[in-house]
Amino acid sequence: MSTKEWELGPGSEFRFEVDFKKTIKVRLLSGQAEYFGTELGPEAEYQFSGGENGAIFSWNGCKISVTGECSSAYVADETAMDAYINVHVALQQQRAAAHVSNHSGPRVMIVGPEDCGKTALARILLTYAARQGERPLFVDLDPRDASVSVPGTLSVAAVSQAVDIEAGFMGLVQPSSQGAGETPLVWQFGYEQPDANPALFNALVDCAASAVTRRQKTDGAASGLIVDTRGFSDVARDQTIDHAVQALRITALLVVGNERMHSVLAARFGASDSTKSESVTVLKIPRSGGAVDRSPAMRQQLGARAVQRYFYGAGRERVTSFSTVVPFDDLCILRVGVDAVAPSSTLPLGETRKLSGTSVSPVVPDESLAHSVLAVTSAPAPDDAEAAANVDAVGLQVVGFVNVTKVDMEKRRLIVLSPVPGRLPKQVLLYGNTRWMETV
Amino acid sequence: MSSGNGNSASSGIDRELYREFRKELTKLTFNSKPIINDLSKRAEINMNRAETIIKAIEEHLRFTAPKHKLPAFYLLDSIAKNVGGMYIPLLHGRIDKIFIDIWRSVDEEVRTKLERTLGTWRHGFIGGQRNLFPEFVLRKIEEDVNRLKAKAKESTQMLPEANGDDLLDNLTGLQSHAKKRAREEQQQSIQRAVTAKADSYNSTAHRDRRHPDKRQRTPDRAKEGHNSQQGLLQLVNSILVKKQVEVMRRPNDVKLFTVLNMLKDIKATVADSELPPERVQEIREQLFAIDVTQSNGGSRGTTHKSDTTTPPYMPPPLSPDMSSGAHQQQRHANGHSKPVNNGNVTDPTLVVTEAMSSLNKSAGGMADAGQLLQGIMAQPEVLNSLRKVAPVLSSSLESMTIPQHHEGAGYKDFAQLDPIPLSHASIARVRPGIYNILYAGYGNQCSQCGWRTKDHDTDQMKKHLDWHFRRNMRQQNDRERRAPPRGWYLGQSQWEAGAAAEDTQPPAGAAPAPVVDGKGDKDNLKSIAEMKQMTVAAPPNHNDSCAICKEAFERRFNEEEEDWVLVNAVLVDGTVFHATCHAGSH
Repeated sequence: MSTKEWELGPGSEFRFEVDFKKTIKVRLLSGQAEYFGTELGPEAEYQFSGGENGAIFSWNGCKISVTGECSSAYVADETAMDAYINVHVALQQQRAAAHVSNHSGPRVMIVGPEDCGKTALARILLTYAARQGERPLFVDLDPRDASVSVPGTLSVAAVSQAVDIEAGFMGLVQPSSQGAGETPLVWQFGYEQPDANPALFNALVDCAASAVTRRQKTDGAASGLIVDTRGFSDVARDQTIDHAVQALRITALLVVGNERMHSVLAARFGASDSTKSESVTVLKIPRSGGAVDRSPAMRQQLGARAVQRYFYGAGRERVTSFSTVVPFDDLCILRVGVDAVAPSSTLPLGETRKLSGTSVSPVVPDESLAHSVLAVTSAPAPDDAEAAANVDAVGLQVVGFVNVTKVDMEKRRLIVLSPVPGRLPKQVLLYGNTRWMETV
Repeated sequence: MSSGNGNSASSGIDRELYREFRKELTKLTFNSKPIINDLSKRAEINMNRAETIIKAIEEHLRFTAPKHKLPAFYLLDSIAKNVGGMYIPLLHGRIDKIFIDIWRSVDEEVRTKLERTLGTWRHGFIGGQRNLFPEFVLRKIEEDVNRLKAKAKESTQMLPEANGDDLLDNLTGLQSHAKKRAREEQQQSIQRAVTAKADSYNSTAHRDRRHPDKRQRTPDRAKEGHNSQQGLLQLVNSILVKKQVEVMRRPNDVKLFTVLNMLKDIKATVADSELPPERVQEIREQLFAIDVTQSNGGSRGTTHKSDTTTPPYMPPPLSPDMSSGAHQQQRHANGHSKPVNNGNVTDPTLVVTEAMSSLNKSAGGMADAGQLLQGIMAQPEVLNSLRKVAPVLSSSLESMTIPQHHEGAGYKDFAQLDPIPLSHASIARVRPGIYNILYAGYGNQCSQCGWRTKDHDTDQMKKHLDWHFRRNMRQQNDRERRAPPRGWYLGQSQWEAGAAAEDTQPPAGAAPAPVVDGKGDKDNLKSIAEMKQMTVAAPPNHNDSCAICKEAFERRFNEEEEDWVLVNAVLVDGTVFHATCHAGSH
């Protein structure tokens, strides 16, 4: 494999894309460099694989060596980092003040169109905060590109260390370098888009908000939180964003790279609105030139990679998963909301819709379950189907996921891949739209 | 401005580490084994920054007071012996110069110690098997020492030739002279020589049109101070300041630095002790001599090799300082650097700070000069007297020093940053160097992952390194066995209980307690640091590798037992294992 050395001037970054099934190795030869805020170790070798597109940035210049083939690799002199560090310092000053006054630190939500580098900005801001000894909470409200867990979920995680260069946010579920372990708090949403089921989405945001509040009661709120969101195409019509801003008591909205969205949101949340007790700072943030548009196929592959990483580990941290047989009788799979709601006009005259976005229905196991990723919740499974229908499945905490590898209708059992050896605990499983098939 | 950054990066000098290490080195004011061990450890962690570490020690040795040189030399010795690796080849080309420079500036007692250490480089290292440095390096040092010894003998018998080197030697004498009047007899002849020589330089100075101000100020000062010690102190200070300014101009003039150092010591002596009037007058005369001699040093060019145009002093083959001024300019031309001070910057403090830091970058020594300046500025009475004595210099000094005081303005001290509001204008404004808030003050860097902890937070770093160690062990095991299961996420109530609770919980995520050797995990973790410190006397005929992992043991010389020991080792039934491997196998 060929090795190439790249010299980065101060304030420039090396941007690369790696094809799926390819791997590159990067080393820092001299100087200092960061990968989305996380400093590269002078003696470490980093591997980037499977569709990673990223940027190694240097504040004061560095030299790196890159082994392997990138589908795209270049050094860019113009980055958005000057603005990003300013944002960090501004937030960090708010945190410092909050530590003194014992108030809540900055509660930031990052919004913007698709593929504008929202998650990258979140990662940088979180890592910078962690580097300065803060422990901000990361609220991931992007179910499609879920960074902390598998697609289809919302999650909250405390970030007390630099986000792992290779494993990304997935590394947060691994034991932290400070010695103590930390896992995220995860909820199953089951859809890719918030507006596929806004009622459920909002309900889950409420769950996240109250978990955040309780956590901050013990941990302190000064470090604040950073919320990543799904790329909104039409912010004017979106119903989830207002709710999230209110539920999470957002103090600053960072709008990445979109003038129109900024003006719409500034009008909606800005200080001019005197009816709100606390105004929200709406700030336009430049988009990083390194953010690339992802094709639907690419997104699918990235989603698959996230599941792959859940079951087999991300970066250097490998984990093993186990095949387990689960008889249908031991299963309690529930589904929140319904996939396609029939239009109201098709209902008989005078009937109102009984199903709401948060209604719960049991899922009868059949072949359609094959390859689905089911969320294992912390709630014990009810004894019978009747009780199952009455389970309040909205906002059940997810403790892990299983992947259905085979549906055996004859023997009435599922074969699932599980993150824990032995029998699956008799707990409620939540259905979701995510599908994954192990590939070799 | 930031060109220094780019430069230092590409010439292999990690500026942050350099500064941190320099700072650490200032702690080394006596022969302290813990400090030396600690710094050696840091040197080991930063093995791939060996160049930076050595450079830091080198510069430290060059500027520190003579009495602090021995401990720093011991540190170098410890790094060479206990860490080795890259450090050895890097030292080949310069250890001679380092050794001789120290040897020259210290007294007989310390010289004996130096020579004793030199002896261990040849014979004592690893059971006499091989030399620490190649034979030719060691021989060169010995030859130089012998030559200097012979010279010293001569100089006690006859007046020394007043070439540059001897002037330094004489100044060294002058220092101890001011301290020890017992050695007056011998010294006086030397001082007479210096003064005589200086007189001739004085006349040179008067002819020199480039230094018109000097002619004026020298007599002024003489008038003002009379014979009082206070006046003398002022004189020392003013010369010191002038030397500082000269150093700024010629950062690579090593002799200038040496002179500076001596002036510092003379100043301390004058400030600390009562001196009889005739001694005051004597020192005064000598100071004038130094003042004039050195000021003209650059322009004479015949006896002093280093001035602004010649390349800086450095041992040629391995030095990072090979990048002379010309080299730097070449880099500028290559466009590796980008001007930081672009149109956006209007803040004058920032500009000055940047200028200061770029000065610092252009010459490692400048950091020290800055410290020295600060040292002077920290004493109000000195400052006041400076204002009286040399208004121009003191004001220029203040303007240079004060920005460094609140380098927070230089984005180092977070607490002193101006508020940055979350507004468009504020966010759009480029603040060059603001990233330093992420680096300055976070001097401990883990070389494995780049994570930093605060300068003195060694506990956190130890914890962090332990975590790496555990993880590495686990990953090594994973390659042999199966990787651990991910396990289930923590329960919500546990999660909400937060960091406090979490510290007492076993990591439920990646390494669920019941499955992977989790039972003693907690206890193991605690003792890993201790295990790594366990040593076993190296048994004779031992093949040097752990019976479990087959990797070699780290060897360290135990000074109490005066024997080599294996580190992180346990002796079980006559077989030596790594303590950690042995614990891991149970």
